[in-house]
Amino acid sequence: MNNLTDCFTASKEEIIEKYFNMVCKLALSQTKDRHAADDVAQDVFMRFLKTDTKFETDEHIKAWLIRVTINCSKSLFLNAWAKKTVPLTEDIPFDSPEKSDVYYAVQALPQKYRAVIHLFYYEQLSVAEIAKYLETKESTVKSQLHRGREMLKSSLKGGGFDEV
Amino acid sequence: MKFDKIYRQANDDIPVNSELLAALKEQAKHIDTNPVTHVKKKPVFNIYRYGFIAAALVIGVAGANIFSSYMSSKNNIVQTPVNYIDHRNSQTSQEDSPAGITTQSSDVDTEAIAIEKQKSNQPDTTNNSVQEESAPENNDYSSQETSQTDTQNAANQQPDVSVSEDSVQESTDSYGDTPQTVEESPSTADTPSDYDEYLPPAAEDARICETDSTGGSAGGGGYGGGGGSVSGGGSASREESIYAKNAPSASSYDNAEADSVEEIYKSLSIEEYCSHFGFNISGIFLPGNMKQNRSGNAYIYTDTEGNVTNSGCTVFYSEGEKTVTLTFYTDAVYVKNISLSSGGTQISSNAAIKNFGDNLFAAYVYYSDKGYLLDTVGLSESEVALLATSLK
Repeated sequence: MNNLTDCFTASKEEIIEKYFNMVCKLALSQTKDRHAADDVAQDVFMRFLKTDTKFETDEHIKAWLIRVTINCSKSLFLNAWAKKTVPLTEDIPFDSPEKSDVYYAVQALPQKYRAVIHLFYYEQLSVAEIAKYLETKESTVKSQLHRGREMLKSSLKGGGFDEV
Repeated sequence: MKFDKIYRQANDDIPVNSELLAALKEQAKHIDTNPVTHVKKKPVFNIYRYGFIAAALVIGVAGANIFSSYMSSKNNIVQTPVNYIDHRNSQTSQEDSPAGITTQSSDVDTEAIAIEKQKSNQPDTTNNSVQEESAPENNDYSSQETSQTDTQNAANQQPDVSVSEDSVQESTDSYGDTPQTVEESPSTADTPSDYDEYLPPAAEDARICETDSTGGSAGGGGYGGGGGSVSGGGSASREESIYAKNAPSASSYDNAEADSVEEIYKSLSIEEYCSHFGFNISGIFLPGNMKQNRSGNAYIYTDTEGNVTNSGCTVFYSEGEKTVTLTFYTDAVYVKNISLSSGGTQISSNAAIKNFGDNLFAAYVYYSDKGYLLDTVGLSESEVALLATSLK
């Protein structure tokens, strides 16, 4: 994996398998639609397969995939078709109401907060890593995290999620 | 329960599209992701890119050339009436160019002249002498007139055709004629060429004389010897022009004998000039309200003995956008040769009109002992014909 130039094709299969879940979940958090998330994931990995970027480390690949997923998700809503259509809402079945409440509370956040919250809480990335992957300042990430948490607190108030 | 834990569990509960994962993995197998292939593709892409850049550059350069040529041709059209197109276009032989035009317009392309000087094996003395001598004549007008006037001044000079090889060559260069014409010039001293037929016998003798002397051991001495013959005539014959014009510049050869020949410049009025040389423009036909402007200029060079060595006269008429430039020539043969070789319309036994388009006409009128050269702008052909025939 670390040496992609030696076994390029095989490594990409492994990479797809390893990061497919991460990309799909991140895309879902951004698009709020499973089909759109699948489209984004497909687009991201097709770009990954065709890219000439010389990846040096596994961390480099992860950062590249996160960055491209965020960009593809944003661009998905920029085309005219996306602007004039409303996706079919499909509720995701959760086995507990807490999960459902938390998940949809996050989905209700603005997109830029969703990305930071998702990367911080689900991918368990540090503020520095998020800032690096999103190519922004740590202070920006911190402020977005803070505002996102404040929004979640207000939306989940009384649900027993005081530790947000 | 902690928020992050519940959020992770919620996301983990969401199933991923396994079919998409399998398809992507399958795609990864089939897509040519060999890094070597990518390395090979990159130069190909670069070739296309650089090829496109090169093609764009070529197209740009070609476009610039076309544009510059278009602009230059446009400028030529504008300057046509004062640049004496008939001299350029109608004269393929070198001797038809007046020496004055040769020397003054040579400033335009001195580098080309220098190159041609190197090509010719003849000494460079004649060129230098003519250029040095002609400088004072230019100074009379260059400070007042534009470059167009300079060209006219050049034409004002008497048709003292310099028959020396270098000067003939220089005239060819200055008009940007084809190199074939230039290449002929070195041979003119030794072998008779086509332009010999245009030269009067006296001029041929002078050419031969000069060539012999130049080809001899002391070129300056040859000119000095020629200078002695200046006193031979009262009017500006070709031999006189050659020797008189070359003599002052012979100082560059430290030739005391040549330095003894001096020219005296005298400015004349148009009337004085006409009466002196027998020109008659009193009955000139001027269409519309055209009248003389810029006062014209007339001059005469004499040697120390009072003999005329060189002279010239030009009169300008204008009204609105109509302009007429009238140049007097004491050498009728010269004007006749231009007239016959111009390819223009013969309107009488001694006059012809050449149409250059865009209302640009040149007319040539010659008599037994004199000639007129007309350049007109904005006049019709009939008006030019009336104007030409009114010159006596």
